Parts: sequence; structure tokens; C-alpha cells
Amino acid sequence: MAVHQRKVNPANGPVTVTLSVGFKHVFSYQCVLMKEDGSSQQVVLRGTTIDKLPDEVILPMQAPQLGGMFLAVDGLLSPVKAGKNDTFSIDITVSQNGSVIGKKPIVVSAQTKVTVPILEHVEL
Amino acid sequence: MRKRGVIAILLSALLLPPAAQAQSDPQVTDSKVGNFTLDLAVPESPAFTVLNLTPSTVSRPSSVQQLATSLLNGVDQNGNFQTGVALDFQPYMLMYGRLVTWNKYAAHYATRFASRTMVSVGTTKGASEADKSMRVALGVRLTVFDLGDPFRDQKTADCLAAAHSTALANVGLPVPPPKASQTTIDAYQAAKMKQLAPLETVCRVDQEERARKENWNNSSFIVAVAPTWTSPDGSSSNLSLAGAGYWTSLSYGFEGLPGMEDTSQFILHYRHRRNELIPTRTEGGPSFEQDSDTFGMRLRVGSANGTGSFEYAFNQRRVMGQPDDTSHRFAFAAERRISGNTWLTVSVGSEDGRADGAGGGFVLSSLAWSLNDRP
Repeated sequence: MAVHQRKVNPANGPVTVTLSVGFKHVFSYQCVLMKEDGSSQQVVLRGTTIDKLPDEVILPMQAPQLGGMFLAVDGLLSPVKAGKNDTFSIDITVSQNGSVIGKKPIVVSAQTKVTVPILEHVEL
Repeated sequence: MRKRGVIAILLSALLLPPAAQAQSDPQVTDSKVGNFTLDLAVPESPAFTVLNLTPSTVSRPSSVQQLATSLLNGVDQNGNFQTGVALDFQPYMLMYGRLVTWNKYAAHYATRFASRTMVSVGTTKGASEADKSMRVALGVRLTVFDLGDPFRDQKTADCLAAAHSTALANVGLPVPPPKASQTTIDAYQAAKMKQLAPLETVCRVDQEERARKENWNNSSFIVAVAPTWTSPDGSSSNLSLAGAGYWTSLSYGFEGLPGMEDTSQFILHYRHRRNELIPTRTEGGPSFEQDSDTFGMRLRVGSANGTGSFEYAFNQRRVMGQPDDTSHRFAFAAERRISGNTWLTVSVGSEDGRADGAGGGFVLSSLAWSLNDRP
């Protein structure tokens, strides 16, 4: 688990979050918006990377309100073929006005042969 | 320069780093579900195929592994004892696997084609007085289609995704905040895993066993090419280019035919080999170059854990200044999964009709496993 920073610009437009999981892994997740102390939790996106639905959401708050909020990416990731020590990679891209904040996605990557629980926080 | 290039290729293949380095440290929790595997037989190495050192002449076009290695010990078709090792890997997945999502893989043929492309580096060494030669091959195998591709089997992935979603819903909110203690976070992660464990076990046991039984013999089609280098005296300083091999294998898995669709596979194979340097069976005798064409067919019957097969191959050899030499090769082979993803293959057969008197009976064995499977 880690806390990352992708500071939104209060003067800019809506904030979009995109998830992408490489190496053909199965990842099911919920994206939860919350205050720093964990209060006011709001699930903004639920899904799995193997369906045909986009793993992307426009956060339901204006940019000035998002300042100081945290987005938790909470989920479970499994290799399809258990027992294989495969690399996995989760990319979390936070964008505003079509530009990627921080210039590049947050990348969570490691090797695993079993299911792993994922919990990453992004300070907005 | 050429020798340095071959050595560089071998070293780079052995030392190739994984595509992505860990940037975070997700908690990896071992569980009993790791004891179940979906692995099919390790494919025959393209490097060994071009060197004519696979236990079966008719190469099967099975699904590739991200990283696999093969060891070989046995008598080749010229009656000389050979030992060897080969390393097979998928360069596209090693370089760009981070970008290959499940949906992209399922939706785009180009992604599947690139992901399945396998490169193989192999070396063999003659262990007898008559043949001390060292041979090196660099093989590239392209999978045109593969109906047994485990990453296109949606049922296992669907089962896992449903299990994940149920586990997350059962744990519910709140999610630990960013400044939660490590103890709180560990307890939350453990709660998710505890909810998932029984559901995942069902998926692994039921779906993976189903996939293994259904997919091991599915239809597929590959083409491959492999240049080779040979050193007649076995020293690496005398390695020189010794032609190349091209081959293709088409398998039919009897899909839709009850009784045969999960038990049988028929394979057609064609191979052309140019400028192959053949050592004579006499100590100190000169080596000679030959071209050859092989057409074979193979019937495999069995299950995902072991098969028996019968193969027939027609072989035509051409040596400059000599009449064409044709021969027929018959073989029975048995493949057995020993444990995990370790496979033992033994073939027994004979080759008849060779004008040079070579051939006759042969026994070949091969031990193969995948490095990226269970430790």
C-alpha cells in the first residue's frame, strides 16, 4: 500500500481517473473518494478489468472541492493461471482537461503467483 | 564478429530483465489456491526442433509459456549422443506486457499474435568421439491461431472476477484512510482475502480443471524459422553459420466431435532444413552439408496430464554430388506430467530406408519445465 500525489488544479475542469491492468490479470476494484481521516466515503467506480465496460470515471465533484480529498483504489488482483510467478502492473491515470496530472500514470507493479489485495491512495 | 553476436544473444536471453520493476510493495498473501495450476505441456523448443533433437519429429503447435527452459539428453538421428539446453521466452510480453490488458488481448488479433511470439535460444553438444560438435540455434515461433489459448478462456476469468466482487462487497466500507495504521490496513486486506479464499478455491479447482481438460488438444497453427551455427570440433571459437530451418505445424483438436474433442489431436508438420552440417559417424571423418525436407503426421491420444502418440514422417535428404535419399520414420512417444509443470517425454522408433545406413532404432528423452510456474 502506498499514498501517491496527483494534485488537481482548482482552476481547471473535471477530474478523470482511468485504471489499466496489464499482463492479462483479472482485477476487480472499487474507487472510493474520502477525506484524509476516512470520513465521507463515496464509491465512485466499481468494476472489473475483464468486462467490456470502460474502467474510467469522472469524479463527481468540482476541482476546487477535490483539493485535499483522497481517492482509494481498493481491489483484488488474480493471475488467471495460478502458480505462475507473473508480473502484474496496475496503472492509475489521473487527468484534468485531457492532460495527465504528474505527466505519467501511477504504476503499481510487482510479481505474484497468487491473488493479492490492492489498496492504493491518491491525494488529489 | 559472428561468434560474438551469438554469445551476446545467448547472454542477453539469459539475463533479460522483467519488463516492470516493483514500484510498490503490495502485500502478497500465499494461499492454498496457489497449489492449483492450469498449465499445459511445455511446448517443444524451436531451437531443439531445428536441430532435429525433439523426441518427436512432428512438432506440436501448443500454447507458449512466458519463460520456459528445456534440457535434452539422447541419441540423435545420426546415432550420436547429444546433450543440450534451450531457453524460450516471449519478447513482446517481457517488453510490453504491462500494456497488454485482458480486453486488449481478447479483442485484438495483433496483440495476441505479438504476445504469443516466442523466441528460443538453444545449444547442444555432441558427447561421443564421432561427434564432438557444438550447435547453437536461434528460433522464432509465430502462432497464427490457437483455440486452446488459456487467456481466451473467459469462464475462469469470469469466475475470478465474480469472486472478487463478492468478497469486496462482503467486506464493505469503510476502506482504511491514507493515514490508517499498518495494523488496520493489514486487517482490512486480510478480511478481503478471507472472504475471497473459499470462492477462489472453487474457481481454481472447477474452472482450471475444466480448462485443462478442454483446451490441451485444441486446434492451432504455428510457423517458425531458426538459423543455426555449428562448431565441428565443439569449440565456441569455431562457431559458424550452418544454414537455417523453416517449419510449420497445424493441429486439429476435433472440436465439436463428442468422444474425441477432449481426448485426441491430429497434427500435420512440414519442415525444410538448408545447409545443415552433418558429422559422420566415423571418428575424424569429414562433416558434410545437406538439405532436407520432412513431412509428418502425428496422432496424440490422452488427457491434459499425459498422452501417447504415434507419428509417421517422410524425410528427403539432398547432399551435393549424391542421389536424393529418402527415408521413413515411425515413432511412439509418451508425454507425462511428472509434477507441477515438469514434463517427461520419451519416444521410441525406427528410421528405415536411408542410403547411408544410418537410422535404425532410436530412443530420445526430454525433460521440460516452465521457470515461471510454481517454484
